Amino acid sequence: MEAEEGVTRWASPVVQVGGRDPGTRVENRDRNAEGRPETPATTDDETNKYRRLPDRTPAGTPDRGDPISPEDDPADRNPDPEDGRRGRWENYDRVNTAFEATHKVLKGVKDLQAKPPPTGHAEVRTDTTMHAPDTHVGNPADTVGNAIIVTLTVAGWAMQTYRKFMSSRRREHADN
Amino acid sequence: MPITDDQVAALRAQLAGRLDEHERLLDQLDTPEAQSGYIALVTGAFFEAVDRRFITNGKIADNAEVIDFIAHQRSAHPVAAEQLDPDVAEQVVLHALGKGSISENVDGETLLGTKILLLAALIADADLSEAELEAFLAKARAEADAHIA
Repeated sequence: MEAEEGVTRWASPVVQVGGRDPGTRVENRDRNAEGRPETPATTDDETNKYRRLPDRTPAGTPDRGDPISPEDDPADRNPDPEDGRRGRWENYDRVNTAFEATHKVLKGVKDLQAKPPPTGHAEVRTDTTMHAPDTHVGNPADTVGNAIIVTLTVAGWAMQTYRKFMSSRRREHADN
Repeated sequence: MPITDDQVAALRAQLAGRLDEHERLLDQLDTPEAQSGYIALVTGAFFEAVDRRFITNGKIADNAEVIDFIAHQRSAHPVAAEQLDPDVAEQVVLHALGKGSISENVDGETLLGTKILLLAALIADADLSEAELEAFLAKARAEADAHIA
């Protein structure tokens, strides 16, 4: 490819997959595919001559650990409680003539059954800095509503008083 | 020989905190058979208490939970701590849960004493009602009977 003048000189080269230009063709990188029946490898191919991977050791080969998932590692498995139950009496023969121990540990048993002493931590702190419960302020909309109700009530009362006053004046005029 | 009512009564008195009665009933277990049966009952009760405390929905607690429990009991009960070796206690609980084994260096009296102390701690921690304690003792008796039958 010839270098071109101008801005196109700095343009990134375009790689075409499957393109006909041998310089830009993407090679098949699946080198492990060599040796597969459908893609037989040939030692005549100089570029791939030393790329052959060793044959994979089949599972079950003596002196070779079989590949297993780390999640299946027996060391990490939670043991089945039933499995443990079967073997836990195995030490009974060691203790069944040790009756004297029942008397020897009574002091410790008594201590374990006693309630633990207080830790010295006051249950209720008198020097608490906790704020008193907030005074209920209420919804601001309630205040506005209450003000409107009071205003309307006062206005209604004033109108009624004014009407009564006017009607009594009219009656006085009529009487005169 | 199956577990007797006298053996259950002795253990009930201990777990209910009636230690004078417990000692008196222990003294009445004066034959090797009676003593061996009582030890089987204590062992069964210990396994039941461990299961109750450290197995939840079939899942066994982490080792850390066992270690924390023992450390807490020893720190809260200094008199018991003198008799409860933390290494042996951890081995005994973990072995009961099917994890690990108990060292051959642990003699019979230390092993039984550790189980009795841990049983007392587990039952005190569980704070069982009278009915729950009876149900617990019935399970322990069945577990012991199944072993010594």
